[in-house]
Amino acid sequence: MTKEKETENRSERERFLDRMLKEILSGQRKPGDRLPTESELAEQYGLRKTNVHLGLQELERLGFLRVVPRHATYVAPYWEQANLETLAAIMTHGGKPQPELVDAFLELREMVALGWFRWTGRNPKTEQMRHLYGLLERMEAIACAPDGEKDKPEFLDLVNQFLVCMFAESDNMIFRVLLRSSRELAHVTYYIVAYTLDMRELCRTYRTVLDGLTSGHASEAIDYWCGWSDKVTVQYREALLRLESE
Amino acid sequence: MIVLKWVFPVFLAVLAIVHLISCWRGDDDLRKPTKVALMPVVALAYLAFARMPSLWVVAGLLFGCLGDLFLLWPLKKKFFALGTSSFFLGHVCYLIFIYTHYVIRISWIWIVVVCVIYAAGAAFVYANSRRNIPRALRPLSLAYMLMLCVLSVSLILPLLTAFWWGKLVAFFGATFFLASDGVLCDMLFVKKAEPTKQNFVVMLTYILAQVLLAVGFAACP
Repeated sequence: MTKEKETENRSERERFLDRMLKEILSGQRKPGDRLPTESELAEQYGLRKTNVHLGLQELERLGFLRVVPRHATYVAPYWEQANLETLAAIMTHGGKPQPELVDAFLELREMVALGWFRWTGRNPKTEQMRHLYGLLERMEAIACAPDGEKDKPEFLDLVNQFLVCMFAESDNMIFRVLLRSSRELAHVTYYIVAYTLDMRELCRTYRTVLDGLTSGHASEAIDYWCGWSDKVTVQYREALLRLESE
Repeated sequence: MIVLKWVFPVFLAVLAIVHLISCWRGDDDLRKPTKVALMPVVALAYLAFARMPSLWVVAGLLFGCLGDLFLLWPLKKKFFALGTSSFFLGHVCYLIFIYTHYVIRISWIWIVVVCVIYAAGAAFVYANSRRNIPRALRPLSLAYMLMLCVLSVSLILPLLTAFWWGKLVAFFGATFFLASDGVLCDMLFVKKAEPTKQNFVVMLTYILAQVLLAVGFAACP
């Protein structure tokens, strides 16, 4: 097979995965629903039967489908058997994430953040802290600008860099894997953070936490973060509901 | 450990009070050693309290110590030039710290307004004091005065960008530096003497300047 043909087949398979996953995640195809045959799907989506076959195999491997040999293919209750690959597939092909998923991600992020605070409180890294303070200084410069001059995309990028620096520069390889696996979804939450929260309040919180961690008051910093986090999680959810209704 | 680090500011306070009293009373035997000891103690206090100590700030304070040493004989032109140069280098260290840690992000109009105000102030002061300064020391004095203005402007611009108390404290420090060196200039070149009480004012404002700069830099990593 030539290289071009291989690429074409892969992109056809990707398109099929995208469409199927969007239909499954949007609830258009519910767990337990029976899928049309491979030939019918190929005709419906205008794709080669081989690529549909390979796409269905991939979806089965990821836990979205259940294939009963020589009988039929069904949508599987994927959340019950999901693993990190399922999550990564949802983030890569799923389009706009479901509010429940973002919500779950936020909870995970909180857990990771608390773990990170405890770990950093015991073992602060000067270079990492210096980098975080540098990013924070740039965030504050934007947050304190007059309303019309606030560069929201840059602020969003800095929040993103701040959180990546917080978690990804840790020595814990699983933190880094989790962060990379959830990059797409994380981007959505950063978007929500930057567009719905008070920028100054966000900067104030980050500074209070960093000050606490660097001055040996890690437990106070954790308490402060928890209080703030409880408040903003409500705001996240409201923002998500607004996004859903738009 | 937490209690131990308070030893430095307490020792600094005692040393500063002893030094200021010796300035007031004109007791040179006590004034000279306490003057030279001040900045190393400020540097130790900075190292004890700064969340992320910077070598630039420590270097700035140690250049200040060197300047204090040379300015024990301010009426000798050579020592005056060496002292001023040491302070100049100290300010360069502070500027490096400022520009690697603070962000300036305000409308260029504000930057122009602040620079024009400082330039006008510096021009006015220099025009009025120029004749009193020995010809050989004029370029150095002008350069040092401009450096003080640059330090002050470099602190006010990040403060206007995003307020933080650490930056405000450091800005007050730079302002006290302007006041201290203004009084010193008046004492050395206009009054051409070392009146005890004026020396007291110079040192009071100078100690406040260095301490406030160190506190501001320590609080705002």
